[in-house]
Amino acid sequence: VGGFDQSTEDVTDMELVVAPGTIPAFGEPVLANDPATHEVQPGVAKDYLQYTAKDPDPEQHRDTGAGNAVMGILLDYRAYDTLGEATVIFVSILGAYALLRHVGRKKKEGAA
Amino acid sequence: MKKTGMTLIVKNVAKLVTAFIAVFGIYIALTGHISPGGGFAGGVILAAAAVLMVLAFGSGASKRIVTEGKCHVWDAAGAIGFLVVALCGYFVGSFFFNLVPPGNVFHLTSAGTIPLSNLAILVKVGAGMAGVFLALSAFRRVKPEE
Repeated sequence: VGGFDQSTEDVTDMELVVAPGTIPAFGEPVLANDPATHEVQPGVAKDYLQYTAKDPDPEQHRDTGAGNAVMGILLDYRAYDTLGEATVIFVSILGAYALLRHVGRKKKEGAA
Repeated sequence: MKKTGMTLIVKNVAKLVTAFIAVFGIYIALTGHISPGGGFAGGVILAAAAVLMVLAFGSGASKRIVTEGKCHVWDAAGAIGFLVVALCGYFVGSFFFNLVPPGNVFHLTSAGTIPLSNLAILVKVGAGMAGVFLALSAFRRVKPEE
């Protein structure tokens, strides 16, 4: 997804929502439905669900094309978070290797 | 050769089932953008196939397929592959830019770079989980020499 265009649009949407005088009350999430009218307010989550599996429309939105909206968010809109997850797993596995191998530990015992 | 692993029944059932489990894991990862699943789930299933192999045949006999060195290499390769997918998008537009145009929804090649990312995560998680299992079980049996 063209992250730049998407993010700027989201920012303008957010500015519309959080305009002076219409700041939502504390504890009322911006992305949730409006409790008075029960309408979905414009926001990031709505855009994600609306454009994830939509047919490609290069003029307006470059969407993911993934039928599974979860994977579209996980590996396209929020892929940076998934990269962090993968890094966490990689580092933890590296730690397991470093702790469980015999070679390094034995050398240290021999030296001490 | 010393007898390793479990009984004949377990070995035969493992021989029959392991390939199907591995294929199912790869399937889960490759169709992650169409149906529920993804690289993480598929990688764990793939690692479960390797674990079944090691449990049934013993770490010595299964060394032809699942080894510690292979696990290290594929783990790192998956991590690098995921990063390469991200960097490909970076050189075109932004980080993780989906540079492959999305095709028809619910087709296998519909989601641009998402299947490639899933494939990299599959390799990474599968090799990593299998390697951790080997580290927890098989490394212990190695008698310290020198």
